[in-house]
Amino acid sequence: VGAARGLNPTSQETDTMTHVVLESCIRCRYTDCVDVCPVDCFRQGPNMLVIDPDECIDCAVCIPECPVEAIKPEEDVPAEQQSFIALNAELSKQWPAITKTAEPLDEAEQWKDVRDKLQYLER
Amino acid sequence: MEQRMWRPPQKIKWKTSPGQWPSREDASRSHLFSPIEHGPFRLATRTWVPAMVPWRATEDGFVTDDNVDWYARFASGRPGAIVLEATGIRDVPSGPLLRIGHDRFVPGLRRVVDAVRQASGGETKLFIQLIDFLSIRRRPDPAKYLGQHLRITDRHREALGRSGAAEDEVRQALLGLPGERLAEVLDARELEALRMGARERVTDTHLPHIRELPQVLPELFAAAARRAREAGFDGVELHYAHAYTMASFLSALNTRDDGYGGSRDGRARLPLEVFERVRAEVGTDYTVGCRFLSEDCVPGGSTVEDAAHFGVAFSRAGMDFLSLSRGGKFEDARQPAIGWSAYPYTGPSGYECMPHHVSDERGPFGRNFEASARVRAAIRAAGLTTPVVVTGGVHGFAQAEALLASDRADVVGFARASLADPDWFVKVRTGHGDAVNMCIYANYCEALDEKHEEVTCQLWDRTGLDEPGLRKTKDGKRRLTPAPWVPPAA
Repeated sequence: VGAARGLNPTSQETDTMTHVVLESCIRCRYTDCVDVCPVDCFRQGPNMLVIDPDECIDCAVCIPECPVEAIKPEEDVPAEQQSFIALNAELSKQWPAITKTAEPLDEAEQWKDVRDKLQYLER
Repeated sequence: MEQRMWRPPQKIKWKTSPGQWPSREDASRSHLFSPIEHGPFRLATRTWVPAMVPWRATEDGFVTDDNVDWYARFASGRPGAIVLEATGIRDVPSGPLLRIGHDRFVPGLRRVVDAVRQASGGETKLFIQLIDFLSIRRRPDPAKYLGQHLRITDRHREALGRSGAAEDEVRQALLGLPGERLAEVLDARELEALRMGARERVTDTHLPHIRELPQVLPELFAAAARRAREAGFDGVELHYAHAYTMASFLSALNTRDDGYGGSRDGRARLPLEVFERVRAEVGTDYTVGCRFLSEDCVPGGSTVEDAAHFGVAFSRAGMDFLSLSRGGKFEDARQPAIGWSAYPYTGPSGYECMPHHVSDERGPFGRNFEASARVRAAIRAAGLTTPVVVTGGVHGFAQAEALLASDRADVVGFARASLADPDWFVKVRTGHGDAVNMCIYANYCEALDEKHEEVTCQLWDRTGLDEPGLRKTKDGKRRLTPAPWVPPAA
């Protein structure tokens, strides 16, 4: 477009762009991310949160809030956790919204550094 | 919430690209930082902060300390002009929206004027945006709407095959109907009232207060403009844009048959009569302009050719500036959650007004440039020199300068870019463009606005929260203005 002369996008990707909650959240569910979200896009499951990709605006303010670094932009999701992209999309349609930060799960401290927690995900 | 802003299906992610920042010397020779004068309209630079509602007013429409701080903070960045947020011209409850419908609002507004003068060293001009809007109701609980509020008529009885049935029986029948059957029984406006919340239109001329708008509004706008002058504002911006009353008169969807609708001249008649009455009230030595739409961006709405016609008419009538926006209509707004009102920035036309960084091929930067330039060209072709303010995703100096150098704008507006960094102007002007805190167009601010929460920017609202005496949001979690900028030692 001529009117936008001098303004070329530096990155163009056609995937759905959103942020994703990864396995670190499982059995911790700190919920610090919830209070900063301007669009209330977090959904709460029994032992994890997910992001509704249709609501997320990609503002990224939740990323630094998470004490276990469980949230990443979709393009930065590690190869071994790619399944969480679909999992967030699926579970966000089943779980209720959470709009205020709550207490973490009782077991959060003991699980925060554990890896490969997908097997413990409760739906 | 169910009313998140519409986004284009292409989902192309755009990033700001401000380009080269000027040196202090280059900035001083630029169009952007040169003065402009047109009658009483005189700005030190061609930079402009358009009206933005930050949700800081009281429930009664008064200015708060937070309003004063907000505008003082913008003024410390020294833009050529700031337009104070949309301020209601009627003395009716309007939630936390500023009001100017009575003299009791003048002292509070004067505080903002004084604060802006002081913070900008008298350099920044302060205009106030005057708005009228029609009634819009919250989306009702269906049981309440069908059980109580809907006026039951024989049309409903017939559609249900229950002629002569008691009102209560009709309501019970309606409550038991599936959605698609309900759509056959209710008329279009009743369905809208159920699904979106009832919304008045300027074409509802069967309602006396709507029919009489052309008699009522010139006086209301004129009285508001008089108060604006008393409060010390440098001028007024008549709000003729987006989803509100005056834009609805201008819209091609205005089919009023009383001389105030239909043809372009009919639709422009009330906006011109309002202007004439305001002008008579404040005189020719006071700045009066308007904000209007270069395109409605809804099916059947006004086009850029309509806008060109209106722009010429407003200029010829003697407006001192014209500021162009785009879209932001109720007609395509998304369905709100029950208990919330429809919001005009949630549909495709709202996207045109406040495009998000996840966009389409055209992207979020400069979507209104071409249409604005078309309107301005029509004004110039008519031999008129009225300044035109162009906005919409402007964030770089080179982009703003190109708009001015290529004769497509006279003044450049920065809304979200100045919310992200109110010091954009002083930084760029003094050769510190690389210190600009650049808006990412994620619309965090728009999301807060939609929830009527204090509007802040994610780039600064959680920084330095332990500063003593810092004013914060009601929940105490965000600061209300960005920290001051300290220029690096030379």
